[in-house]
Amino acid sequence: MSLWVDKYRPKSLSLLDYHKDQANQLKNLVKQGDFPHLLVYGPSGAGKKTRVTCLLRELYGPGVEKLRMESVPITTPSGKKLDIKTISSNYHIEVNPSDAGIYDRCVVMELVKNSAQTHQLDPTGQRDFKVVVLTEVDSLSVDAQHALRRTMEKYVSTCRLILISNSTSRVIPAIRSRCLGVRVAAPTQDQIISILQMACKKEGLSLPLDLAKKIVDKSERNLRLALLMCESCKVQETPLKEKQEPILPQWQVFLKDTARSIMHEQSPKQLMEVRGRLYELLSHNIPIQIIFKGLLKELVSNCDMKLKAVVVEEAAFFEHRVHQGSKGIFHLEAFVAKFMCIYKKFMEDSVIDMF
Amino acid sequence: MAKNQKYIVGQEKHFMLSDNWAEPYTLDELAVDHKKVSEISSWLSNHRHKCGILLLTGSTGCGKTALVKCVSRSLNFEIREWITPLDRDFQTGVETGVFQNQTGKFEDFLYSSSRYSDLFVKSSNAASLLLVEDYPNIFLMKPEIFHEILGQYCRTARAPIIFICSDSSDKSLNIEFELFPQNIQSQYGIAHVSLNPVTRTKMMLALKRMGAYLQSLSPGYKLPTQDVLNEICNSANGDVRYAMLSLQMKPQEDVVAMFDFAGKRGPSKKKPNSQKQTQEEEAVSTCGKDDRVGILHAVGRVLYPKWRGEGEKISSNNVKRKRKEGEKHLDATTPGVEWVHNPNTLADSYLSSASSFLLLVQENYLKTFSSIESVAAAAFCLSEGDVAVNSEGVETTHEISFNAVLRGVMVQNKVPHRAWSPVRSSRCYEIINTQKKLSTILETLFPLYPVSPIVLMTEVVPYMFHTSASSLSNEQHKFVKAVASMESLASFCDTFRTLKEPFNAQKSDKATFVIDPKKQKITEQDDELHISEDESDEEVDEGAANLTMLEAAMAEDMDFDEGAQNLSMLEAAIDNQPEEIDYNALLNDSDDDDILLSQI
Amino acid sequence: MQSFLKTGKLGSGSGAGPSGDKQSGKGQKRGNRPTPWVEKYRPKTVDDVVEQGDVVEVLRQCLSGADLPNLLLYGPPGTGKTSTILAAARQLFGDMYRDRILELNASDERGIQIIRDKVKSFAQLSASGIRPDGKPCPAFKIVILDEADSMTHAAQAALRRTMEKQTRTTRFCLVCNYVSRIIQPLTSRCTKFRFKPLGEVKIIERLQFISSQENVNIEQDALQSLIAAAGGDLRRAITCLQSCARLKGKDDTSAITPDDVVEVMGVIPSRWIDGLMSVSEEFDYYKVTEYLDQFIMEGYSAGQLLEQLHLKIVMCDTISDKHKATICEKLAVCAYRLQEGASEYLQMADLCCTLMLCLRQ
Repeated sequence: MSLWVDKYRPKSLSLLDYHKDQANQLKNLVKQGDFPHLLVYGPSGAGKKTRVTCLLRELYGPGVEKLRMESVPITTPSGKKLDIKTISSNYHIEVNPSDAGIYDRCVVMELVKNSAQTHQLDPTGQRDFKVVVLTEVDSLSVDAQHALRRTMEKYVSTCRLILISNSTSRVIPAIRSRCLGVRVAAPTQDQIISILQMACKKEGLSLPLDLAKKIVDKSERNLRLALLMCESCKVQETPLKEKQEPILPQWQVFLKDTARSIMHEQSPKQLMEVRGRLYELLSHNIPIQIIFKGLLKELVSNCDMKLKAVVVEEAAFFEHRVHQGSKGIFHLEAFVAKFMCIYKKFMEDSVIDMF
Repeated sequence: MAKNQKYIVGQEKHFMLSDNWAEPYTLDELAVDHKKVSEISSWLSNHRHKCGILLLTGSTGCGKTALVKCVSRSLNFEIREWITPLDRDFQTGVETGVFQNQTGKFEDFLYSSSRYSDLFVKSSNAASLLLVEDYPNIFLMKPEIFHEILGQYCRTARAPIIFICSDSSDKSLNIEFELFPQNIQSQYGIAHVSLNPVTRTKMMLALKRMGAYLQSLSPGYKLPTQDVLNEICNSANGDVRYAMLSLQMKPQEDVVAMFDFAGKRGPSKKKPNSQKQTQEEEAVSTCGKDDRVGILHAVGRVLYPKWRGEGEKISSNNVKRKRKEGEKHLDATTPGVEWVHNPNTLADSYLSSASSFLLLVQENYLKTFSSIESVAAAAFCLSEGDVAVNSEGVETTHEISFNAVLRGVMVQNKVPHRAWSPVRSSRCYEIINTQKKLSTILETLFPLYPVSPIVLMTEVVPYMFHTSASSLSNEQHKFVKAVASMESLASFCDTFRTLKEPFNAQKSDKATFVIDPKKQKITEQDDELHISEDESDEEVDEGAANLTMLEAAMAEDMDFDEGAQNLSMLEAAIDNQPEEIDYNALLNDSDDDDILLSQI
Repeated sequence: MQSFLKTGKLGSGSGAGPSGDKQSGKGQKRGNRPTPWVEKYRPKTVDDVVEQGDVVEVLRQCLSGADLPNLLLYGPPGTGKTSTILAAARQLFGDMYRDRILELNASDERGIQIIRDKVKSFAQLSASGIRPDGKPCPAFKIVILDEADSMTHAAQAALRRTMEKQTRTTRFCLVCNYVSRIIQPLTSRCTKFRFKPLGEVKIIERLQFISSQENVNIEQDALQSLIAAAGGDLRRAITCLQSCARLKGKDDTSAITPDDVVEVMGVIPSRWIDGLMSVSEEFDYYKVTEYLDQFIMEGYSAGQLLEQLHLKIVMCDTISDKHKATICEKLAVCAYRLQEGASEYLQMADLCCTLMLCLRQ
């Protein structure tokens, strides 16, 4: 039994549930022999990957679904050997370059080169190019992106790139201008609700509208999250009830508690405890940006507008530093300390005002 | 001593300064606890011309070798010491040849030395005593061979043998642990004496004796002051050899400058030890240790900043007194105040390991601060520091910014919160380590799942626990549960060492994906390989044993098993990283050279 | 393909397999690959170049026999720098074009070693003053260094000696966006020409010409928004036009609408920008963050938002200069941080807070 998310994933462009115009446009693109590099961007859970998979199927037919996992050995210029995990079919290869850390540059170049130089395994395939799918392009170093632009041009005859990223802010203009941008917006509330209802129907359940709305709210228009939540609701209680509360992932609860404990007491000792909790979150692979965002959302709740602005500014400042430095915890902690400091002052002042 | 070593193929060991040193000659001069001395003496007298094995352990420089030498001298034993011959004698290069040769020579040595007395020794009535301080590498790799030889020795020998091992915090370097496990000790009736680090008093005595000796060599020698001796004692941390070296190497003037960084408040349990030739390995571990002591003290100085006012001597008492009297206490803003420990010097000396230094400060600073305001300011400085240390740029910028960061932290701490607390090593790497293991686990548990690891961790896995708990394999279930309930993953990752077979089965279960059967076979084979590898070095690395690939990766850029504990390793790890990053910078540099060349 | 085309096969979209290309294995198969329109409609002679009077004049004189100085062409992207020099070279050398030109762009390895080896050995070949077909031509070769501002300073420094030594046989043409990134010794050895952003009229003419050639149906409004979004960058405008046409598909004869253009260019529809301003005026933090969330959900790029917002703020009449300065400073800071990879949400929240405080007063 697989998750609903996987079960109800559309498999071809014509089956996509939303952004149908775009799906059509992609189809048109495939029909013409000439296929540009693509840059697919949009928020998490909007269906970028699904769309790309459908597109590949449209390009190559069902053969593209025969996936295998391989680890490709790469040797860096400094002689270090890396093994990069790739997922590939006969027609395409998919890599997450951020796995390679600081070596992403040579990984990207090598992979594109390799796949551009190997001939299509299936001679009957109608395309004379292979596709390299790079995920999480926004975490690609600038250096690697520059390397990419050369590689893109050089091997354009045998290889097309599909870049997937959450946002184009970090993609250098040179890359952006060489790709056809495909924006995948998150599905709207109504779209999510109808998808949820459809899934429930196929499972033989009926989904009360109120619950569906609650799920959409909590999932922040992330379709994947919404489906997961919906399925967990079903496990929690069948049939689904209107009053049910969708479950949040435990780490979100944990993060909220952390924020609450920051507002509860401001002292070095408390900060020590908070640090422990932050470490715990980090060790669960929760990205530091999400921790910042989550903390900020909770922390500002008790502040007046002026203070909010200050807190937001500090958060933006320290979060930026995370990217400049190498040890996230330093900056996260500095932010918490700073918040404790201004919040304490704010609370003291408002106590004085009361008298 | 050289005479006794002539058996050995390798050269006589020369420790630069050791020959004319005030090595203890009589038992009284030893800095070792006299109970231990008598223990050894009685053991030796009992084993004259008899077979017997004694294992002598103790921290580096606590006087093990000197003890053996003095005792044997007093009991009229003649020492024959094994020194591992150099490998260049075996140019054949065939590996097995080398092994046999070293092993063979060692056997030879044990056999002949224990049976025949040295022709060239005048006092022919002296009994032989075999001393092994240096172990052929092959034994460390294959302890079985060593144990076999030991057995053989027990059957044939007619002279006692003493094995000396340095304690080491690192298990894999610990000879005692490797070569003399408990069962071997009991099997061959090995006596075991363990020495403690030299006590402060004994160390002081030894230093004074040394001073006197130096003076006798050159009359112009000024005896060091008590302060200097104190500094040396403290910084040596129980290592007499180091203390002696320090004393001898110390410039006559300005001793304090040199020892500025050696700590003051260090846990000082020490013993004097006669310094003597060292094994290479011992020397290495010595460096490691001293380094760490140094860095811990330096961190202490940053965390507990001290100032002195004009004309005052040392401030911590003053500060306390003044505070009692209700006077304004000294801090960096008081005019005329200066640091007791200059941050410039601190920054200078730890510049090369700035990053690990900051980690230590960051881990520990909270305990010494009393107000959240100053914490915020200090945290800001640290955050700045992380950026500065990480930024590419000229070395001097690093120096300045590192200096500024240290000062910042020190200035902010107006009233250090004084309570005893151990300096803890940072958890930062532990976390990174866990994250890496995590991604391997994810790959193993959910192969081919079409989302990024982050999404998997933040969205999918937490819900799996609620939705499809029943359809997960055992391992997956455990993991999913740990994630869903925010259990500490660090410990989970350590215990994650399971058979991968179930997952392969799992893979093919996944209806959504078709897996090339050939490929799958290969992975299975790989898994078997990994597992068998694990078994062989199981003892050494109990942790994530079957994450072989991961470990290989980690060994490159950060070594870490017990690593968070071991600073020297940490430093090495950190030092490794920038190398890569600077690769381009290096290229550019070489470009410059080219221009210069071409312009010539 | 593009780089291969740049090295000379202008407009040779049909026929010829790629020979300079290492990946020639499948050359035959790709016979009638569609060419990027940018390459197809590159100006073929110096006279075709739109605007940019000075440099065209110099090149024309050179075509009629005068000597050519070393050139440094700079200006914003898409203004025809590379096209100009390529067209000139084509006219100068005719069929020998490929032997007389060495073009290196940032994508090629341009370490110091390359400069020394490749450029030097190319420069050392002597060139005759007569074309194979008997017509006279200048007795020198041209080295075109495209995107010269991305060369390291070391590599640039290595160039200056070579440049002086080889004046007899070789002319250099440096092409870059930012002249300030070229080291002084190099700029002083070259004649500098600045390329201005192209005027709207010229771009419209060109686009209309292309769309009639390619049978593309585009609304007048769409053309306008295309030009606005391209901001004087002709290449971008043409690429966009082609992408729009591709997405429409051959069978679809409906006209390209402004929405299509906006989508392909990655421009944020102006209602989002206006919305952001008006929601900020309401001075409610939660409304603003919710708006931001929605904005991010739509997948628009924060970097683009900053750019468009900047224009809007600068042009806005209702904000005092002082507040404009504050907001623009924040814009700059946020843009910088975004570039370094900071979280979009946090940076935009920060920006909006500033915006709210300023709009309030």
